[in-house]
Amino acid sequence: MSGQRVIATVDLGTTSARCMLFDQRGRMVAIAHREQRQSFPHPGWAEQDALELWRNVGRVVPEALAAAGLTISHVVALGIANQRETTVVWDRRTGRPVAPAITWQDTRTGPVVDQIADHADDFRRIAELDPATYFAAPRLRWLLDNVRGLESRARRGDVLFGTLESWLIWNLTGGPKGGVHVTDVTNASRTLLMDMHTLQWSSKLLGVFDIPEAMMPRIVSNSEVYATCATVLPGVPIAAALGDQQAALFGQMCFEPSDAKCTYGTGAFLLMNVGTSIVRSTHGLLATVAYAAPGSETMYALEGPIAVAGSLVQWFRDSLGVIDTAPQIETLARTVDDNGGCYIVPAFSGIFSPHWDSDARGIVVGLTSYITRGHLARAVVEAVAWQTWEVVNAMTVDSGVPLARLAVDGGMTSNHLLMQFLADVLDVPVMRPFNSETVSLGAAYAAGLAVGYWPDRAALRANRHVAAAWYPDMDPRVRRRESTGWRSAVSRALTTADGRARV
Amino acid sequence: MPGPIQAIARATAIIDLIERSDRSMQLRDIAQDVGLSKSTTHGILRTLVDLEYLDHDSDTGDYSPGARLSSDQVAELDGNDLRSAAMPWADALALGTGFEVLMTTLEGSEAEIVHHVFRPDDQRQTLRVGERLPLHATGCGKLVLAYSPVRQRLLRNLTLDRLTRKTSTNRARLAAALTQIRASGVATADGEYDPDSADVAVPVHGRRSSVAAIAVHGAPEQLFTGEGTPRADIVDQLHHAAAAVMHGLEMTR
Repeated sequence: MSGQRVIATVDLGTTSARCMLFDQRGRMVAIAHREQRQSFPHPGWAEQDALELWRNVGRVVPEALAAAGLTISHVVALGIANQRETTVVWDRRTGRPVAPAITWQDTRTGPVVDQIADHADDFRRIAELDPATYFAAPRLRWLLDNVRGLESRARRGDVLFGTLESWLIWNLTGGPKGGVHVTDVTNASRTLLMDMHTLQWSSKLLGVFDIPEAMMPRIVSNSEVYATCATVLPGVPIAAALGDQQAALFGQMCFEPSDAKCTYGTGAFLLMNVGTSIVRSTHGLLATVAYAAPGSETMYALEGPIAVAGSLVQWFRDSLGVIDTAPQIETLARTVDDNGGCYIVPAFSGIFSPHWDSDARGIVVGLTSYITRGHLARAVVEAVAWQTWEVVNAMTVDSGVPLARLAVDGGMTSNHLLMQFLADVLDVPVMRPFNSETVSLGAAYAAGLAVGYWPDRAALRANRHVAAAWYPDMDPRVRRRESTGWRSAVSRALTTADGRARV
Repeated sequence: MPGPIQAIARATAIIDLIERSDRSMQLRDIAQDVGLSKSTTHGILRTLVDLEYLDHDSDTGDYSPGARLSSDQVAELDGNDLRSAAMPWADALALGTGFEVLMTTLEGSEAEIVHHVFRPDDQRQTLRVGERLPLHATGCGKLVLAYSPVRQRLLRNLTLDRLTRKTSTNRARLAAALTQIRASGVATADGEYDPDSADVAVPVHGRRSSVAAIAVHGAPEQLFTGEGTPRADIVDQLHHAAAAVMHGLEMTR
């Protein structure tokens, strides 16, 4: 294997830090991962230790190389993908975070968002987003307000802000000794602070949150050499960074307008490429940057984030103890033929797209003495599909393009019952590509394109094949009846009259 | 280090057999299925009953799992756990070999497909998860039969339908094939179920003697050498994938 050259990727996910190595045919050569602890110190709070995350990266990269029998000299470039909206502030001289990282699932910033409500129109016009607790800027403001002395340190330029790719790149490039402070355009598009039209920080929006520009990273594209690693992979160029969902969109090769993918992990994230113009949603979706690279026009996407997907199965396993392993949700669900009239709306952190109701709470409806744990398991599986269905419906209206097929990836694509039910309710084919690790693959592709490992996107297409496909097979009357049941359940979970007013 | 202790190996085989039996078993059946004399078998059974691994109904003569073997512990491989652990490695196997990949578990007297990865050529293919395959006419069927604790009974009771010109319906020949499969760790079938396709399967071992098959499936002339043996490079890749899946299964526990 001594002649082999590979692209390395690091994916900082919600539950783990992972390193993968990819060869020129886009095949995963090795993988190493470390669980990443999350803490939930108060209801609605979700935190991670940014130093632990950085230490884990330092472990998984050598582990992956060792697993493949390769050394640093075989690595052509590094690509990075990360959980988005997670917010870190650190001291530029010591490299120490000033507080735990506040993650994307955290909803503590409701009061911050309420304070800037008068400026909602500015955010819509400039950032193309409605202010919500989901984004990074309210978290940054919360830290400035709640960490003693932070505001003045920020004004003096002593501390830096970043999402996780910024934190990682700064550390990889030397940290306090010359670390490069950048963020990529997809992550920046999730802060509420970037002008979506110019792809630069908006001084107007920074002013609304009263955030000193000195602490902000420089915005860079998704596919270019930002710097060279000083540690972990010394000498290797860092050539790509993307938010994990944009990375998956790229890894699924959704390069053309109307191409769409949904990634099923802790949450589920459906993104559709809408081309080179921003599409503003009127149905609860987010406009976001899909991909930007030097020398090509920026691509935009519509996104429907679903907060709870795999985490619903984990809750069933860990909090209720009904199943031993996550895949056994399917075993249990198959003990019954249908949901028995039972629906679960998993609004554990409110409901994200398309309803955006942060006060909604989860409910189970349709309980009768007929219901067994098999029916509940079935309702768990179906809830993931129906949430996708709602996002797809919104996307069809906003984009004006009906979905022709849905490309899927992520761990839950091993759930055969879910994938078939998804095809049934969406009434379109559902396709799983080989290598469902599309987040890392997308980061690898972007990095490999930047350093010439692959000549162009067309060369990537040769790597793409379908590993599995599910075709719709449901009586339209059943689909209608069940969608009515789901809609009725959702309406009971929402706190707002029309379910869309509280973005 | 000495070899396995024979008495413990025999006792384990008897426990596996009785745990997986779908009906009550008596001395005669048990001795026959594990291939031991009645007196040897009786000695082991009596000890297992004394130690509460088995119960014995002295009226009917039936043996059944005892207090130490709580019935929900019969840990057959869960097909969904298996698919989840296998997915990346089955994908890699299909990409590496260019063939379809099937994984099966024993379900009654058939093999059930629990995972299927398409041939990586983008021709339209149909997902076969949930389909049942005959044990005697497919590689992945023969494999799960060969490694089942209840193989002797299955072998006696299987209906050996002739499905193609090449299907063997000879029970003695199938028994010999099972012994050979256990010795070599590879099962094959060539045009015995569908005349135009063949498969090569190797075992994925789970806990408590449970075994699933991972197989590549495709055209016979591409899977076998001129001598009719499976291509060595394919068998290597199968074993590599099976080891990775077993490692993955261990990690999920």
